[in-house]
Amino acid sequence: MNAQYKKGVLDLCVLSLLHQGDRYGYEVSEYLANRIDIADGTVYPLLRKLKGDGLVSTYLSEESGGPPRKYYALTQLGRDTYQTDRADYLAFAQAVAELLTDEPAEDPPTQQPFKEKSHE
Amino acid sequence: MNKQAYLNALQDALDRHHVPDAQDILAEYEQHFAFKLADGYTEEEVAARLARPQDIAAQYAPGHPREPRRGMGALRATLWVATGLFSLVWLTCYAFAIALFAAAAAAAVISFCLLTGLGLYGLIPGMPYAGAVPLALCLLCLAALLTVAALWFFAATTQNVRVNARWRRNALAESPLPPLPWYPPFAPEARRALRGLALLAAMGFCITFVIGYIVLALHAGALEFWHVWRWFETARGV
Repeated sequence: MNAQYKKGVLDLCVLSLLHQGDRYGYEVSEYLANRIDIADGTVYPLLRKLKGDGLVSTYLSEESGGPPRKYYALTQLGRDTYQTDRADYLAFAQAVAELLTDEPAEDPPTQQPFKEKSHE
Repeated sequence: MNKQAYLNALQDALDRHHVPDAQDILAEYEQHFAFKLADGYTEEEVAARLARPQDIAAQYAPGHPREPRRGMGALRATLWVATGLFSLVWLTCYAFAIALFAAAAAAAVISFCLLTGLGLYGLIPGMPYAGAVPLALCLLCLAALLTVAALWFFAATTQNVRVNARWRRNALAESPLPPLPWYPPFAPEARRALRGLALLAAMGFCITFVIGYIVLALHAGALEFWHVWRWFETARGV
């Protein structure tokens, strides 16, 4: 898949994951690496950038039998940004989907629709 | 590349990009290794799957989000040259400050002449001493006001030269310094003293001016007393 597509929505994906609940860096990294196939280790700079922009905050949490883990959580600004960006993206994606599926039928699709392979 | 080699390479790359909090970032990748190793991967496998250290460090580089600046290059260069030419205006500002000082000194000298009855080449018009005293005080107040104005203007000009220099430096520099305020950096006591002196002088100026006018008008028996004593006619040699 085109790397530019992923790059544009990676921020939104991270915000969405953190909107579901606080996670530590590795969780976010693994989730995105498995589902949208980005190179390992590229999520951490993104998390730091989001922190610098004030969209996420971090806190350390003791785990049973291990060093404290750094958790990432959305700030209020992060939640607001997520809601607006999400609405924008969904509207955009829907418009693109309509455009792509309303193509004239003279060139019928010969292939199965593209499906993301999922690692379970 | 094993874990230590990867982390060392990452640290070097982060240092090259002058990334702050490198230890914090390294801890994040160390943890990444720890999780992956716990899942049964070898150090070499984990390192191979991670992006290259220099690519990761580049993403952390502080210069990263400041890219729009480069697009403004032409505009900035024009402004830079324009503000350089504008610097000549400071000379005019300093000249004005010196003129204010000179005016203050002149007012003080005339005030002294009026008080002592010194003729000064016949330039000081004749008037009763009872009227000359309030006028002398009035000019003294004016001298104080002008001095305060000159001091403030001088300090403000100097400060704005600095503001301009800072802006010009920041326009070219990689790491900008905070901009400076435009107003003169007087200490609070100095500012209070100057303001108090200016207010006092302004009040004194108004009061003594009115008193002086009333005294002179009563002495001459006319509102336009300068006609009675022919102040301006003698100056023209009539």
